[in-house]
Amino acid sequence: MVERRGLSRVIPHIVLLAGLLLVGFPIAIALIASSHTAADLVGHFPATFGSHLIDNYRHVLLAGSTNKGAPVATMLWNSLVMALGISIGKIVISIASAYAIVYFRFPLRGLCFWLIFVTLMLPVQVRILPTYQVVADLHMLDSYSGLIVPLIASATATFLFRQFFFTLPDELLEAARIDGAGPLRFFWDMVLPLSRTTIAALFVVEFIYGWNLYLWPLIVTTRENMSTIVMGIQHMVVVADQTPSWNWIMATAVLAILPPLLVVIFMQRQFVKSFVEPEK
Amino acid sequence: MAAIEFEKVKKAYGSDAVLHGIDLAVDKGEFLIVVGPSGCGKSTLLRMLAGLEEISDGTISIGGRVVNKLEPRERDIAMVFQNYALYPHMSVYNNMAYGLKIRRMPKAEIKARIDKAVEILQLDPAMLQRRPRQLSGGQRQRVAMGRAIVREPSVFLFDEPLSNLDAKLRVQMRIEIKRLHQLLGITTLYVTHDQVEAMTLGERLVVMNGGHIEQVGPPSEVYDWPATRFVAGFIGSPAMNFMAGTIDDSGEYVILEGGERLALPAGAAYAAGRAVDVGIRPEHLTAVADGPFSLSVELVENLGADSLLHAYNEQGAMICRLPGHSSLLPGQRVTLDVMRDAPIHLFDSETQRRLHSGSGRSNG
Ligand SMILES: Nc1ncnc2c1ncn2[C@@H]1O[C@H](COP(=O)(O)OP(=O)(O)OP(=O)(O)O)[C@@H](O)[C@H]1O
Ligand SMILES: [Mg+2]
Repeated sequence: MVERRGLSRVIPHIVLLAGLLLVGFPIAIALIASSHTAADLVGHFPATFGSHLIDNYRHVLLAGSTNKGAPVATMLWNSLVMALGISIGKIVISIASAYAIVYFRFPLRGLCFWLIFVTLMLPVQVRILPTYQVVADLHMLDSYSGLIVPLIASATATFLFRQFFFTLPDELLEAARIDGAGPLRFFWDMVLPLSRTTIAALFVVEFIYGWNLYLWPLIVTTRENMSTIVMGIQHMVVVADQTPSWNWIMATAVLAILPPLLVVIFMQRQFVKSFVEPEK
Repeated sequence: MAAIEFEKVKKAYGSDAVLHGIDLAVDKGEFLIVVGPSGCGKSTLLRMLAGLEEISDGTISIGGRVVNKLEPRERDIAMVFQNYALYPHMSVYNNMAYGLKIRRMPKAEIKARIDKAVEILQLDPAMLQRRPRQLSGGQRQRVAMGRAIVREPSVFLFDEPLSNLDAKLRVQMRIEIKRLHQLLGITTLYVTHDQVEAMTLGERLVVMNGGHIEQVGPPSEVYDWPATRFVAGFIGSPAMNFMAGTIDDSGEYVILEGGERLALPAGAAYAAGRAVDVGIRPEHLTAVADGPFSLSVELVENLGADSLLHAYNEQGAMICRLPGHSSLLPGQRVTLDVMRDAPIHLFDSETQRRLHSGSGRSNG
């Protein structure tokens, strides 16, 4: 590390502090707002924490923040199932297809790769109508499988694994073959453990992607008890004939960022490792 | 029965022929060295034997069994790679145990075999729980050899195993490998670039060039009686001196380009007027007061035990190995002669083959 002095040492700190404020301020507001009653929030904004923190959270978790929506606990659960399903599904499918493309010679292998690669150009938003049609025809509307399955094919993840596999030396495969490992054993004993950090990084990215999905769940779910937390927040803000209960909305928002936050905190080390220290 | 047999083995990548019909038999327990310039197909030959490359044509048999269509694991071989190819996420112990576990060997026997290998290789048992990346290059090489030993295969394959090590460690590991072979007596094929390894390690030497075998024989025989001009130039460091010449009318002398006259070795008839390449090893030249070669000194390398004299004249450069320290200075004139009774090597300019066979046998 280069030793930094004077200005060059102060400036990074200023930038970091500014970033921290920028990100931290809205969260602070949400936390403070979620500790007051709805009446306290009308007309002015309190600068300090109120005394209704626990009440508010208990209320939204169990009863929901509007008179008709599902309880937040249900929505959190739906989001969790969807985000886990998407991230795990993506990892499983893309590591398997990348393995096939890199380590096996089969007819039309090049074409298969390019087909997968081309789907990069077709994100969910572009193919949303035909995909909806397919899901509807398969009677998967308002179900977890409808939320998850259409989104788990990932060209990006396949590409990432493919690039990673290319960095593994050929001799690794050859040594394993001489030791007697067939294709499946090589996958389980060598490729999978060596991909650990890549998998962790992908999991973080895809979990957050899945958690934050809005358009797709909005389209495939109509039943209230299937809605996800991101949809829930949106519904709360635009209730008709009612002042939005900002204390409950903020409590819901705070709850909504917790799971991605936990994922990042717990996977952070693996995540960073995947960039700086590929284990080879 | 030969332990390994190559019969008319060919390899082509698409339309690029890499090996053009290799015939070779390796005896059981033999230590065979394969040398040749970069790209001549040494690794390809080894990898075909290991089952890592397909055989385009011909047959390879191990212990009398044709292995062309067998998977590497069915061939009863073990291979040591240049870059070790250890499994980076496994401990040293598991690196060695992996192949045995796949063969469903009982745990106790795996342990016994690894303990034995650790002892043979003089590995520190505390190292067994470490990861490969926590080991030095020499230690990794030992572990790679350990992984081969525990399998107790019928053939060991080495592809330039020492070329990533520093000079001192290489000497040490070379001796180790030789000792290992004497101890275990397993048939070994060893590919190398290194002259010293080629001369000292094996019982027989295979010199390859451009996808062909040029010569097979004990190292000293290959050195003393190179079958082709290529072998003569490739084996030996510094390389043999070559001069163009013509056999004179009497058939007893060769006249070199510069007009020098050298007596021909006895024991063969030479066709008068034939164009030949004359080869003389640096250690067979000596500085004399009056001799056929008159040159200017370019530089002298004092190696301690002897010194290498680089000199040149209009016909080209020559290298001569002189005993002890040499006090010759660059620019000085020097006269060289072939030592009494020292061999000179004659190769047909056209076919590049050796002209006189002497007592040595030459291959094909
Ligand atoms: N997969 C491949 N596709 C095409 N050509 C190849 C392939 N592998 C090797 N070759 C060619 O085959 C020839 C022999 O290669 P090989 O690796 O056997 O050489 P080598 O004698 O081991 O050389 P070195 O001493 O540099 O290791 C080379 O000309 C190389 O370019
Ligand atoms: Mg090679």
